[in-house]
Amino acid sequence: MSMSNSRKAQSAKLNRRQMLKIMGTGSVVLGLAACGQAATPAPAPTEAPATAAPEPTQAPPTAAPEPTAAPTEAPKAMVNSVGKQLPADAAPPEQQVFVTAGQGNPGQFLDISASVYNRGALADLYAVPLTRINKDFEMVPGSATTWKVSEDGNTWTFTLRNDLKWSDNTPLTADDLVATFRYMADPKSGYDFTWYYSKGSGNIKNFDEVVAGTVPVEELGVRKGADDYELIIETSEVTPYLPRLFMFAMPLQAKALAAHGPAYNSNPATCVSCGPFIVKEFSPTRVEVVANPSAPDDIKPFLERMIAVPFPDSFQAYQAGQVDTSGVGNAAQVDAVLNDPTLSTEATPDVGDFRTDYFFFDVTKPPFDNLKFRQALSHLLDRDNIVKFITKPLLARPAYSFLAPGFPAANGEALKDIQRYDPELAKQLYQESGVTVEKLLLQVRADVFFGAEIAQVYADSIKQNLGIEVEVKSVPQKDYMADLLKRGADGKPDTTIDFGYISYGMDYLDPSNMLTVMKGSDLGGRHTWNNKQYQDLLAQAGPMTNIEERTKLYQEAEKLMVEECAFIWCVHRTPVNLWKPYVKGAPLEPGKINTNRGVAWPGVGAMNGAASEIYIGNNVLDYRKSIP
Amino acid sequence: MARYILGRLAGLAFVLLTVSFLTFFLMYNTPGGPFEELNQPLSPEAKANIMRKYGLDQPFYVNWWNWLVNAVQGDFGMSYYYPNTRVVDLFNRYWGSSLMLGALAVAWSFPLGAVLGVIAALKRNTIIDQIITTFALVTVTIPIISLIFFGIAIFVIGLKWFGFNNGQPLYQQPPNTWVLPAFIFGLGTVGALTRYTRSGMLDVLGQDYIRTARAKGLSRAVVILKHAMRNMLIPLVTIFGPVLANAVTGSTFVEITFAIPGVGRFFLESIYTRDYPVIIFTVIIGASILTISNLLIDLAYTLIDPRVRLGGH
Repeated sequence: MSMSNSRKAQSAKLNRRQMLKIMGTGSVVLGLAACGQAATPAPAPTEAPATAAPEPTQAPPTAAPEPTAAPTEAPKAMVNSVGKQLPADAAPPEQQVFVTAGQGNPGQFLDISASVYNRGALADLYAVPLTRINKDFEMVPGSATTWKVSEDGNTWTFTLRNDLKWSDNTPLTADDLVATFRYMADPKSGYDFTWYYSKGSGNIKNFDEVVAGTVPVEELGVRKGADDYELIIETSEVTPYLPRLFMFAMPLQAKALAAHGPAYNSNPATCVSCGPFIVKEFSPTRVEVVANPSAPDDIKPFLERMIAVPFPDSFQAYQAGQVDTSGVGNAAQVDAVLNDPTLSTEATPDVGDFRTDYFFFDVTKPPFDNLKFRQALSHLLDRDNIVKFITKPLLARPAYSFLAPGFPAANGEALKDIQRYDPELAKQLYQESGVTVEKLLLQVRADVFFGAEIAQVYADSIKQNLGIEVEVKSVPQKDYMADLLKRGADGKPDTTIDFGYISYGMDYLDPSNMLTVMKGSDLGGRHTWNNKQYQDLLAQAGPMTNIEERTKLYQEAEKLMVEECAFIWCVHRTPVNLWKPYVKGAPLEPGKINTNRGVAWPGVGAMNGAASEIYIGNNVLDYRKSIP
Repeated sequence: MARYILGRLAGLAFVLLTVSFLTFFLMYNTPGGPFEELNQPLSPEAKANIMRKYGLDQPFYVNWWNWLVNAVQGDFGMSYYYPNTRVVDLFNRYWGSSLMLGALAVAWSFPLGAVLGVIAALKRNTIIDQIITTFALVTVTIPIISLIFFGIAIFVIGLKWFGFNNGQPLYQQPPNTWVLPAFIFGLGTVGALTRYTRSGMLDVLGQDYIRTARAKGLSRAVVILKHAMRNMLIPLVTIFGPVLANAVTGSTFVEITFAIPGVGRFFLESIYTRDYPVIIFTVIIGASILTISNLLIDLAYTLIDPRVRLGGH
């Protein structure tokens, strides 16, 4: 090769290398250059050439007004776009935006009275329920200011506020509530939460009959009273806790319901609201609502907007600074919270919906029809270690009964001994049971918090102490519930889940709600434990107005249920939520039951008034770079 | 040719008919359903009301037939999950984001993969070849989900250079919400394409006509650009079909983890919620795109290589 050829070749090689380098670095640079403002510093302002800038012309001294000494005024109170005065430590109105991931579900219906299980993020902000709860779970007036019950205890009269107006300027009246209840009961609606107002729960007169289509909807026990603001509700049994149930009685507007159907709020064009917000944008991947100017002052929010983006992982979105609150949902997130000094200060456990996770048996099938065998299993659950090593104390506490501490009639301490961890006693009871079991299948509902891990620990304990092999199987929620609630042609349970792990949290703060879940399949309950004595105790306690006597009966019923070991209580959850420090307001302050900072169940909404009371603090810009 | 295309289109109709029937069968025979009660059991009457309202009290083949009759008239029904929303409208909300994500990923990964493959072949058994093939192997073998998690942990949560999508279509978003997903989505394609191109190029370079061309005195560059490149287009076109179909129908992992409102995420959510009308529509669209892209690839072969004849002629 000649010198020149060699140089050419070398030069060609260099060029190719350079080309590769350029390609490599170029692609990285292009990628980074395309990133958002956060990645690239703001360009320095370019100085205008001195010659190009026109000289400012000085105003004649006489034309300028004499500067007056600034009076020492208090800072002017900020008022948001709907005329509500913001607290002194609030950020300006343009920053009054609360961003959430919702439940991680895309949006669907936006009213609990339209659907419970197909409700999306930012639901239940478009009306005021008949009654509400405060952060201590105490019942307070909602759209009803007062209520009274007849002497026989079966006719309730609710007086509605007369200052609640829908955003189309029509008043909220008893007609709207009558239409709402009729919609929920109407067989054509296919409402998915009918049990709530049925016999054994709300006991609204003729509710079950209307649902079944045997009685016309006009005969439902909900009607207008003497005027537009009086609502009469009749029950088939004395139901002293009825007003408590009505925190879910969120009115739909009769006119919109008739014109556009129950999903009228899922469309900004047909949305009508008498609650704190009104829908501005609705899509499966984003919901944005704005303050409702037609709401009365106490309902008007401090916030200008709320945005829900159903991030699949709200915890990551919280870490990335894109949402203002998030739950903590798995082991990795718990570790991240415990090990991160910032997150650990922002994470606060609360009682949530007083949820209890528990094992259950199909007591109609062997070997679970044997009480001693069930009792043996009840002594093999090491709850303390489960809480210590799996859920961590932050997220749960050991459960020895169904009703969690703080819930009315809760009696956990007194019942603690019945299902205590005692492997030796378990072995003895297993021997006494007379049954021999080689293998069991334990089915876990996949969404239950740490369900698979807890079930595996329990399975290992059963294997180690009783020599019974336990296979743990995790089943998706929908499939699990379809199996659990399956009924044969004869109406009897036809489930394949003989041994399972599941959870339940309250719908309303009354023992009748939680304990009725365990009433047994004969009465429409979810499990096959049908204990006559238990059912009678519930039936007796339900209508009682003497709280002390009623509590006693419920505690007696719960004790019976714990002793019967049809359910083995595992943990009471204490869900942990993260709240950015700039989210402020009375609902976040520690209360009597939730003693940490954070909005109590059911979260930021109209049922507890939190949506009207939270605001964004003036420290927001220390944390938030942009509003999505 | 026209007869061949018509035959293939008739085949497509048969495929879609079969796919739709099988999908209905699977949907209706999978445990659980769109309206199973989640907590408290519904009374039989209440459950029957819901089933009747959505026609779910009918056997699957009745519902399939009803769907088919409506579908051929362009009516794909309403979503069970999103009230008052037509399935087609829902799909329209999503496909743009998937297309943009796929196009971005293909736009950077396809040329880069092809160039790297050619370079690796030309530099066979050198350190450059080894680096490129190792890179290709790594990008192909590392699961995309791992790359996503590393990417999010480092660049979204740690450095905060990038962010998650805010729920609006990708094309309405600033670049910091789509650069990282498009980069990760394209990585697997780069690796696969590099390997395809390298092996195709090596095959071509070993052919007699390349030696002949060189022997005629043509420069290496001319031989590669004019003769070798054209002949290695067939393997590139072969892989381009599935890549394109994947790009259009969306990457489920990338869309879900970055909260991108795309078809992949839409499809997975519809399966989770058992939104039957959405599931069947998405399956049909996916099957159509895959079948049509295969047809287009076959037609492209005839343009690239005159020796290829379709339809047995």
